[in-house]
Amino acid sequence: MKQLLRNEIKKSMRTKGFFIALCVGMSIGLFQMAWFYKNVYLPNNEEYAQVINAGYEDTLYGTWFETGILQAWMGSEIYSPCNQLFYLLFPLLAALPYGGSLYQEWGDGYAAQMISRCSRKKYFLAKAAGAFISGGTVVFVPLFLNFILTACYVPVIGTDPLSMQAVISNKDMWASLFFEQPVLYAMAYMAVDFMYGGLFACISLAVTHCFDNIFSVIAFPMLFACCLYYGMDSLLPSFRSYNISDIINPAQLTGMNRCSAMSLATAATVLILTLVYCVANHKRDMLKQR
Amino acid sequence: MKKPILLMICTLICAVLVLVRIIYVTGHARRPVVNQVTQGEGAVYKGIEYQIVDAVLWEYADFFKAHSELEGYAEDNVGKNQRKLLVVEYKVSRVEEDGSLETYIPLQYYHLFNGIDIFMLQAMNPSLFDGTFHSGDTMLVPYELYRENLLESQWQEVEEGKTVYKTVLGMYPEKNEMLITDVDIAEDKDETAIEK
Amino acid sequence: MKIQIEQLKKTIKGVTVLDDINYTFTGGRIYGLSGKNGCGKTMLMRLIAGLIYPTGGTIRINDRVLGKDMSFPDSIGILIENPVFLNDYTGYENLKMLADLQRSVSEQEIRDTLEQVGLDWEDKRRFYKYSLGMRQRLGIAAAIMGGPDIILLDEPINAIDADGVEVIGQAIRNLADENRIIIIACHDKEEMDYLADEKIYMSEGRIVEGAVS
Repeated sequence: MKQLLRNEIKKSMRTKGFFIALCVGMSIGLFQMAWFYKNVYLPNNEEYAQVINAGYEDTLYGTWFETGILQAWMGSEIYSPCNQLFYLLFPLLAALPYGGSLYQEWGDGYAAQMISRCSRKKYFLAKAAGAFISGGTVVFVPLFLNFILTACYVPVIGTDPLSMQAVISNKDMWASLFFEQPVLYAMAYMAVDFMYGGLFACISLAVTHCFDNIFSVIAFPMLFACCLYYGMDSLLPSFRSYNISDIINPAQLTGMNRCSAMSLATAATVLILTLVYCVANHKRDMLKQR
Repeated sequence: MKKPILLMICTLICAVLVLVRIIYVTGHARRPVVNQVTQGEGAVYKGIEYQIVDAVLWEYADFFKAHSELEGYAEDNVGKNQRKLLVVEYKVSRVEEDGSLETYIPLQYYHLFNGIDIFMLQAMNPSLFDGTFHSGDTMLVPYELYRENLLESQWQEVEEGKTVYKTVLGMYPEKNEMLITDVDIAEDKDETAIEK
Repeated sequence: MKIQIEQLKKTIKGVTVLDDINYTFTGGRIYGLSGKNGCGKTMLMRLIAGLIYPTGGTIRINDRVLGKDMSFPDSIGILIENPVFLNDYTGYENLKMLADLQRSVSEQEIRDTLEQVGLDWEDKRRFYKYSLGMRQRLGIAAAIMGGPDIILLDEPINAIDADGVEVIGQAIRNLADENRIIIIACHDKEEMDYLADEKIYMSEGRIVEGAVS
């Protein structure tokens, strides 16, 4: 089983989809960094120069704030379109590396080679592990690198609520971390995003046998997330805190994120996904090649 | 074998350089010098000294019942126990000749802050705006506290008077924080209007 | 080594593809399954390999029921339809990855198997650059690597040149001598005559009565 897991994870990190998804994520991250540097960081520095020399009567006197890391990090910076773009593409990026692998291997017969050497259970488990790890990695890396590179020019300090630059409010999830321990906040959300990246990739695996083409399999998680994001917000607003497409964004745009709701939603997602994955593949015949 | 080792060394060097840079940037962050004063102590800002003399926490409706002349500033449809009013009395003294009075003194508590209703401020302190305010006079500043902005545990602390507030004068290069640790809870009584 | 098939039936979407198959395969022989396209040869092989599940009947391998006592045969090598491997890996790497799952096949055995089927184990070309013949050879190598007890080969000498046919034929015969069950499906009579010790003819999902030789 160890070897099988190792193989699947290795395969999942060597696909074209992995590199494409990583490139797209990192491009968004780099663009966001450049945008922020030009449109926020530099003007803030110019304002600093003015404030330092301001007299009592100047309206700028005493009004300047240093930019903190969470104002600049892609996960929590909402002035540029990058945060929204990244989290819109999030499920697609996660599914690209390995979400379509079961569809491909089942269809072309490679799965037969695997199953004849190890049990179906182990094969499906290893497949899910590969998808989970690659899906999580591909969304974690751009966020992490963006954080590290941003910290090279924006100090890692908390956000002063008086600056009105905080994207989250006092009542939001992990507010204390956001304002006082920005690194922990970012790390916590990166861990959440890693997990959800993996889950979205596994959604592709679970719905493999529902579609006749690989594009639908890979695109399904993103479409599902969009339906949740827009549909649930409009039709069931009181359940927004359980909406997994809202949970993933560190900017907490709906302001409804709660730790307990997130835990429940995650547990429910894992359970449903496991159930669907097992039922879909239980005693499934491996018939003609595509 | 040489290539992986070389790669590892390069990665390590890059990581160290990045870490050093991050530490440098964070260490040189332009943070304000925080000047924190306890309740009753004075803080000087723009040549004026401010001293918190009193802080009273009112139930929203009760405040306007007690101060009927300010009823016009009350919002309708504020549910019971959904909003409170913290009225802070400052003693204001001139320290420098060219000192400039600051009326925007935000209230900071937990991870949020409240601004001031400038119109209500004007109504409560007419001397501030008609030129009759002198050094040594006091001014009353009302702050509205909203239950919807707080967690239940935090609101509980507000009601019990356990919350520590800070009123802030200036953000940079010096941030003056005046702590409010002793808050009087106003009872539901029919008080006459404040005499100035 | 023994495979017993009793009253085996397989229906797919209401269509009976295999009906009332009864047969016993014993070790040390090469069985040739013959019949027209769509007669059920590949389906039978898939059932023996545990890739699909029977609608009725049983398959026993050494008295253990497939699908009940075991989900797939303990020791089996298969080449069913077109051989498929990972495009970004070489032939050797592909076999190594499969062999690692079983841990019973050493690197030397993989090299020997590749040489047996006429492939160079040091070839750095990735699978997607292989010709049809090379892919077929690699598929055979994957099936016979490690000497499994049951070997199922579906039209193994498709796209193989004459020299290759001889080499592969010899490799298969050597394996049969060691008490293995080798089942080869083909629709070509010459292929059948060349490889099989015992020939089974199928038609419309059934073994044709009196047509076993």
